[in-house]
Amino acid sequence: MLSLAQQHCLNHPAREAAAQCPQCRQFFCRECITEHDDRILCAVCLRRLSLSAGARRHPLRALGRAALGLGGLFTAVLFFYWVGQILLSIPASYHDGTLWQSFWSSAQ
Amino acid sequence: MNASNRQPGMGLFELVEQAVHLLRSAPLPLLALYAVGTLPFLLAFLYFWADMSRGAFARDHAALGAAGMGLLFLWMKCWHAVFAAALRSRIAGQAARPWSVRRAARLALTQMALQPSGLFAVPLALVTIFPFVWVYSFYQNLTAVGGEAGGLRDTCKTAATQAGFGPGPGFLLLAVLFLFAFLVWLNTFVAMAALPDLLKTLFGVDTAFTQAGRHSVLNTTYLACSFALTYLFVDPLIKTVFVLRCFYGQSVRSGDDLKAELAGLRSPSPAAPALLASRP
Repeated sequence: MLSLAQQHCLNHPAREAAAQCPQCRQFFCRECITEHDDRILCAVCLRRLSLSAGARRHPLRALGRAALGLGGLFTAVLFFYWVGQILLSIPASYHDGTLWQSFWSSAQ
Repeated sequence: MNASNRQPGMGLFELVEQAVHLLRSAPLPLLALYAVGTLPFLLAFLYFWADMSRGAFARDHAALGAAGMGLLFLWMKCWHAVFAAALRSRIAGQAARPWSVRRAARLALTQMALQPSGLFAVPLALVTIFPFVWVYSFYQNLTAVGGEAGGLRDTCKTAATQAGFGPGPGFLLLAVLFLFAFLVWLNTFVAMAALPDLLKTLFGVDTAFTQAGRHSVLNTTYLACSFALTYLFVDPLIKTVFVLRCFYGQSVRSGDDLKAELAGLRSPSPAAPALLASRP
């Protein structure tokens, strides 16, 4: 396989290649490539990538996200409700420490 | 190629030292980001605890209190992610990215959807012991990478990948951090117990604690206060450690650590010495 220095641009055969697109593996000159998301891509691959990203957006997606967020909120509320119930079920003498005071005084 | 190959001198204690240095050199507005989220939650939690343990009508408004706590928990987690994002920009030697509505909404959604499960998953993992390190790291990483670009799936994937990756073994890192947290708790507990007595001895100020006697330290609200203060002191360090861990873990692919180092050589930023100091 020829090295990059020996390749020519796919769109401009008269020009030497400057980079190889990691997506389609074709060689391109400086004018035909661009940087996207820390990667060098050719214009065609970039267009395809942006189209597929747009196509993935489903109308119900926003609803699903909202449901996930609300589900998270419900989970947090449930956790703290249980914490509250546990605290409520513990005797008051334990909460205010008098349980240990009486234990110590009886030990002495 | 892993992080230890890239950074032969980078060990567990270097990572913790870097985190301490970063926090100490962090400007006040950056630390304020953490406080904005954490202080309301902790104050509300202490009120909730005291109310549920002593309130006469606590049972009647337990659900309402829990709803408030849930909202404040999510509020705190969102601000933790904002703090982590700002910290990460500082480590990378870049200007902090502006917060657009879209980015803020994405962060809020990620934290709202994923973090609450940690309230159940982390204690459950602690009971079973073995996956605890991974589960705990995963939820810390969700905060550390929460402010980055990417949706729910990407954030989840990055957090999961980085949970088993980074300088030093995960269990040793957590052992060191938890030991430190225990010592801080011990100091806080003793300081809280000694302060009222010192106030009375030195200035003659009588407080509710001195009137209640030494047994007041056995109060569960008192214990909750000491745990809350310990969380406030130690958690920023834990967050910083995990932000650094993710930064170095992701740098294996992105080369961000090298870029930060080069940027630091060109124009030394306040965070640059922290990064350069770790190099062998």
